Amino acid sequence: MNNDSPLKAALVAVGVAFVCSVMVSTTRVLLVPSDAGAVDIAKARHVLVAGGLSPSAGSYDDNEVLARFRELRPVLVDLETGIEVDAPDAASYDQRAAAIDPEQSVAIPKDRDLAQLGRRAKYALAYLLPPHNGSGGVVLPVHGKGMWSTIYGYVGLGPDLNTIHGVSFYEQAETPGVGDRFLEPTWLASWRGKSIYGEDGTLRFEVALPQAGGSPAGHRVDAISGATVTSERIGAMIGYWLGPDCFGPYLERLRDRGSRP
Amino acid sequence: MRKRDILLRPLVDENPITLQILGICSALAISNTVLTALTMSAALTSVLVFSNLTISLLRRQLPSSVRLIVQVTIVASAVIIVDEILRAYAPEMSRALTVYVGLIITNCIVLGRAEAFAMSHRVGESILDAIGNGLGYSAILVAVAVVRELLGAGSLLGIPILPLAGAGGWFRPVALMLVPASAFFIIALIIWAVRSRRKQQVEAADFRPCDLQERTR
Repeated sequence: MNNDSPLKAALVAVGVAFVCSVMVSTTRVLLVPSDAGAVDIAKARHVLVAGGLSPSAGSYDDNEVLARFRELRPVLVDLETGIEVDAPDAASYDQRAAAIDPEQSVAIPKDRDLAQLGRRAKYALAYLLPPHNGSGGVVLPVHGKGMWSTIYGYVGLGPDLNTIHGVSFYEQAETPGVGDRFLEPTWLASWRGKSIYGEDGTLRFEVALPQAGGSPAGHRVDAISGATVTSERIGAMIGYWLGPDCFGPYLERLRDRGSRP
Repeated sequence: MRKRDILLRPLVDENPITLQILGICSALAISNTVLTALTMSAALTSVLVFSNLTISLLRRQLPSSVRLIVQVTIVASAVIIVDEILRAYAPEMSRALTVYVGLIITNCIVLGRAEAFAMSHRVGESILDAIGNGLGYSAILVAVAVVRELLGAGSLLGIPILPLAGAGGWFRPVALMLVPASAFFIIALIIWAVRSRRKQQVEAADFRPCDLQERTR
């Protein structure tokens, strides 16, 4: 057949497209099982870092991660009331899927949408550190808009439910080499020991450049120069998730529970 | 051209980065650590081999009207497959490379080799050409990454080499090396070094320096 006839062009185009799509989908299908496993362990690693149970995401092998992860108790929290929901399959709850499901999510009023999310799930999966009643601390999932992308991570609070134990982010697509410097271990380590709430229980934590009249150093993490927007958005998203609209009521309950004899 | 030349010329004499100035985008972004540079090099080389092989096989059947779109489809499929494999088996690395594995689709080296070489050469030669160009790209990327990781973080492949001042040593990391712009300087120095040895790579000046006396007269 003449190579330049329209029929030949169409045949070649369709043929190549077909073969290529079969190859791509075959790879995808073959890789799905290991993919799913890898993602779970990867998240568990970051939960451990935020909970102060692992120095960095790559510190332990998979078995060690699983063993340490089992020490935590996953709890499904109703964010509006702060009540722990009884759900046997809590550990497999998919908050991201829930956040786009109209049934399982609520719209966030514009003026209160610090993390620029639009909607959030009604429930969130938190992890209690032993002894599992809040007096050991808690790891909470957070996410919000950075400069270009949605950033997902965990923040861990110590036994007083105020001091930051650790923080770790597992998904982002900020500018490589510029905005993504918020992943540098030294910067994340600077979060440790900062307090979220002031004496009166209001939210004081922020990520900002040091300036006169700003938050005192005990409540402030210095923004990264060159990645100021990303840093400040991360601060805002922590403020949103740990504030009265999200985990605030739950932390209140945990504190009550801890102070009871 | 001899087979040896097809394989070895892209290393220095026809290096895709230093002579053709292609693939600069990923060379800037992904050269901050040696490990990411090695992974990116492996990803690009495998895509290049696959696309050159396939396109060379199909070269007599490709109508020129749909030639480019077919090439892009083949390259894109190879990139998606490489990306999926990385995601499944090295999720941390896949995150470190962010969008740059996906962007291999638009890497001029891949389409450039397909158009300039695989469309007009036999399969064996096309594979050699792909390996050669992959190695040429890798050599520069890894060289830049060695400089950047050593001076920017005092380590190589994550293993501390220079004792950091922050941890009681004497070495103060050069912050410039952590930003992508530093790769511009390093690549420029490499190009300078290569061209001062291989004069035939020096390009003719685009403009003649302006002669002030001549103008004022």
